[in-house]
Amino acid sequence: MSGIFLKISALFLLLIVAAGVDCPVWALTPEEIMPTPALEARAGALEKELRCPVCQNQSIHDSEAVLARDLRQVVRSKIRDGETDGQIKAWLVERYGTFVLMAPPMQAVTLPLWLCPVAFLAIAGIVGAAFFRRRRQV
Amino acid sequence: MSTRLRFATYALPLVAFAFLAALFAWRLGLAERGMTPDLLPSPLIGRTVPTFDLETIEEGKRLTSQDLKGKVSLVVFFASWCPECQIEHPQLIELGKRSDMTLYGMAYKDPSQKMAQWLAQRGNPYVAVGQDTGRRVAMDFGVYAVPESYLIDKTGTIRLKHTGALTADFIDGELLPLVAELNR
Repeated sequence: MSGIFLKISALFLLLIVAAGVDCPVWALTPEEIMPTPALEARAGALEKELRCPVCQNQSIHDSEAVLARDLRQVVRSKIRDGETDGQIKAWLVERYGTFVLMAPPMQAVTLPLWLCPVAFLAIAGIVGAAFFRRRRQV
Repeated sequence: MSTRLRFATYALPLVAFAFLAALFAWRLGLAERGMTPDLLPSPLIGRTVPTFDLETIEEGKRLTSQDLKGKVSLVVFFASWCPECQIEHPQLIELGKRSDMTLYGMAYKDPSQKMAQWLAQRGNPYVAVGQDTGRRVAMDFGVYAVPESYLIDKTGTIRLKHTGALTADFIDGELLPLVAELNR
């Protein structure tokens, strides 16, 4: 009797722990979940590319801010309506600017950002080449 | 060659450091003047005000984007639960007395009753207060934090946006000069 009780409680305990471990720490609420896993995956992937304007270094997928939840609902209802990722992004950029995109687009303003790695690589190359040439000479 | 190189190995980091220090000083200077990095530039400046048709906190009255036509108006998204909104409210009361600008409120995530009560206590500078229950109008305006204020000209074009409580600096330095220009 007590053995069975113990086993059942142990099972429940395991279930609770497993649920805790398995549960991803998303801010999603149940009504936001998409009807199929494929759509859910698409919504999640798109949300990770969109920055939350309130908590600025989190994506709307990770944020629990009210605005992030509102934007997730918009993204998900638009996916259900058959809009493409590009259309949904354009809708958001129209309202919040390119800031909502986690990856900054190539623009005149962001050009230095994109060229910086190339410039740094060039500097490193020049310095490195000079350094090794000197070592050979010595 | 070798001395030039030794010079370069000392000078380059120094130059790089000076450049970075100048960059940081410039950005910190901007932040000092209120331009903190959490303020986002609005893509809506220069564009027509989004279309909306909302119930107001007054029963039976509606507020639509058509109401903004033909006058300079200030649309303020605010809420009774927002502390910054309380801070800026006296400024709005003053602005509400002006004849060159009409004030419209937008209740953000705020039930009508609470909002009406809040305004009754503090004074109501708004001609009408729309109830943006679904927050869709706020989204169309690109609101990301309350309070946010939008100055709209007579043709219905958004001319200026301010995020956060209205300050005397902003009102006297930017808002009122533009209002005067738009009324000319």
